[in-house]
Amino acid sequence: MHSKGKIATRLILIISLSTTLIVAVMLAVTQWRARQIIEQEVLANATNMTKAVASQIATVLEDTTWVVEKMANRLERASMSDAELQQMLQDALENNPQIYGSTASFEPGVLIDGTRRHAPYVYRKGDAIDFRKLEDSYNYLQQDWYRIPSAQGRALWSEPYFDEGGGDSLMTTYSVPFYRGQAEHRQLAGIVTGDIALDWLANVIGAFKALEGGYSFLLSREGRVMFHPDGRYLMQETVFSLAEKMGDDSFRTIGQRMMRGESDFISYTNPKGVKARLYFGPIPMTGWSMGIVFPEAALFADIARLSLMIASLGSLGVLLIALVVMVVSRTITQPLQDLALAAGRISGGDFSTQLPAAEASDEVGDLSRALTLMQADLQEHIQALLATTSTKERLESELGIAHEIQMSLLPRLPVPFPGKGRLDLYAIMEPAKEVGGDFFDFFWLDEQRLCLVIADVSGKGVPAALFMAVSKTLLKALASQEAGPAAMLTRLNNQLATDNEQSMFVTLFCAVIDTGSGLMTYANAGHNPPLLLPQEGRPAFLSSKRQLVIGAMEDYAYQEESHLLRPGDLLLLYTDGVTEAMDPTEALFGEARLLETACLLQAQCVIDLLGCTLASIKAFGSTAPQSDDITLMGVRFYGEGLSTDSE
Amino acid sequence: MNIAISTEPSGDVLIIKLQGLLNSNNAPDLEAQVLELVDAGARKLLLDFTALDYVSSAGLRVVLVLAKRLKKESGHLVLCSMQPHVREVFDISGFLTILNVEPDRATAMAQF
Repeated sequence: MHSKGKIATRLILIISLSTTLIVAVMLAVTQWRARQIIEQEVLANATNMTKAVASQIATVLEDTTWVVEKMANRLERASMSDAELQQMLQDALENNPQIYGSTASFEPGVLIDGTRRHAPYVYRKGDAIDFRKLEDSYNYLQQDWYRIPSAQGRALWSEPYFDEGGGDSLMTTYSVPFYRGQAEHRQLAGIVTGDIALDWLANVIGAFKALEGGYSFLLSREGRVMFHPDGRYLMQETVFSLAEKMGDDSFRTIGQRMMRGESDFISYTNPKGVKARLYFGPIPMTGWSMGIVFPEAALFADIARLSLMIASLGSLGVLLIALVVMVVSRTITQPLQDLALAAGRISGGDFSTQLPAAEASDEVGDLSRALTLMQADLQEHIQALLATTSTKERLESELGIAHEIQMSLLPRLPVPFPGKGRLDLYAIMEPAKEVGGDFFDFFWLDEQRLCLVIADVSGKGVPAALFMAVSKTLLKALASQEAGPAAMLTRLNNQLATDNEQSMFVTLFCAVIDTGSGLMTYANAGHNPPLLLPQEGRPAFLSSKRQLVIGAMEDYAYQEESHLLRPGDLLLLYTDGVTEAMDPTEALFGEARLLETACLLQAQCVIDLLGCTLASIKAFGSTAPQSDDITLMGVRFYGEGLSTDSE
Repeated sequence: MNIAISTEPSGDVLIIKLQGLLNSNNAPDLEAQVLELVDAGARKLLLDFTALDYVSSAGLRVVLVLAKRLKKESGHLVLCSMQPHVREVFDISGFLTILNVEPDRATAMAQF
């Protein structure tokens, strides 16, 4: 379960993280671009609005300047009577509803009747038009609307002012100087003006509804607040006094730039910490400047909403992808998990396990098929191994049985030997690990004669054991029919050599002892000559003719020899397993050592002599493995003399 | 396997040199090898025993098998140059009475 969790978790983690990153980058780029677009749009809007406001103001102002300048023209061309003058002013008001009041004020001494001042003023009073003489109430020569244009020698709009006496509204006055005389005699004759109310400005500017929390404002040439949503500032404050109050230098800088008639779109943070964008631009002709404030919060509210939407959609997408990855990874890891379980069952020995996903065309399918192949191969190998093992076991048990049969074929040795007091006999066989071909036998031919046989079949194993069994049985059968050893061997040879496809043979020594006389007749068919240890005289190997082994060739005529045993004589028969026993350096035990050993043991009884000789041979062989059967047979002849003693 | 054989043709005679110990462990192997030579057409075989240090009854059997086989094929087997103790084994087993064993290579070659 852990492995499945690991792959799925890794996939989900990696894919979710990368998609989140992608969504975040997209969001950032989108937001940046959207802000750019909105800023451009806002800038365009602000510029357009400023132009619209400027154009509306220009329309109103241009009408007025045209009327006032036309009057100045008339005043320069000809002298007018007081009545004519009043009529001209009254006409201007009647024809131009935006003009609130108008005066033609003269320089002292200009008029014909001497030095008197004259400043007739026509103005609206309710729906009617009234008339008064300004020189009666104050010294108009000291007023800004008169003084500044006459000093500068050009027409200009006055700073806005609040006319408390007149319409109780914000006013501005257009003053145009007019002159008399020609060339060097030309001199200022007076100032003609037109007053207009500015209360409509609030409507024009306020009509543009900026964003929520946003607003527009209008500054005069000198920075006075002409329009602001907060009525308290109206005409009471200038941008500079406000900057002073708020302690905001950047505000002052902005004010100075506006006064210079510049236009710009800038970021601005007010002292309360509210971020905003500010557009400002000049209103031509007047020297005024308009500002529009866009709070960022409102400006980018849509973007914030859009970002939120994209972010939530993105999160939802990431979640969905994670879910899909989880499902997909499960479809990948589930078969792997199943395969792992199946492989576990196979390694546990359950070869009938059906491997999953074997039909799948993907890599998991490849793995499954490879595992299936491995499963079949394993099964085959294990079965082959089991078969081999059982064959080997069967063979070993058969060899064991063969070995037992071989041993059971050997005659049982009664102790003491029932030698009728005339002889003692004992034999030992120490088989090699494998089934060998040695055998020995002894049997009475009649009351008097004892037949002895010792033999060694060529080779080892089951064939040797079988050949041995046949040889031994045949020989015993022939013994009763034939006169002596030579005849027995000749017939045995003929029978064994016939149809001896395997060319197996047996070396065999056969002796018949007449226990009465001690005469031993014997025939040796290629066997090791027995050792004779006489009671008196030197021990020696029994001389015998060299004759062919039994089974090699048909029609071989064996010959026999004889030897007269004296009481106390000992005959030691053996196979080549004795003389060819090897020590670890592969040195042979040999005839000489056998002779020496036997001589030392001559005084012992037959059983002990054989036992000690075998012990010597084994001691000689030491750790070297016994390669051949070791067979020893000893016969001691007592003769008649001992017959009474033993019985 | 502690036996090595090498063959060396001399005219129509194939000389087989035996070296090492010939016992029941390697006898079946040697038997297969020499019989293969007969199967391949060799009819005159000389077994050179100069370097053979030991022969067991199983080894004798191989020689017997080879002799019988060549007799059947109307071939000829000669043995030569046996060390004394090896010759003793052939003597005891009576094989000298049925096999052609020569003291050296020259006399052996003269037999063919």
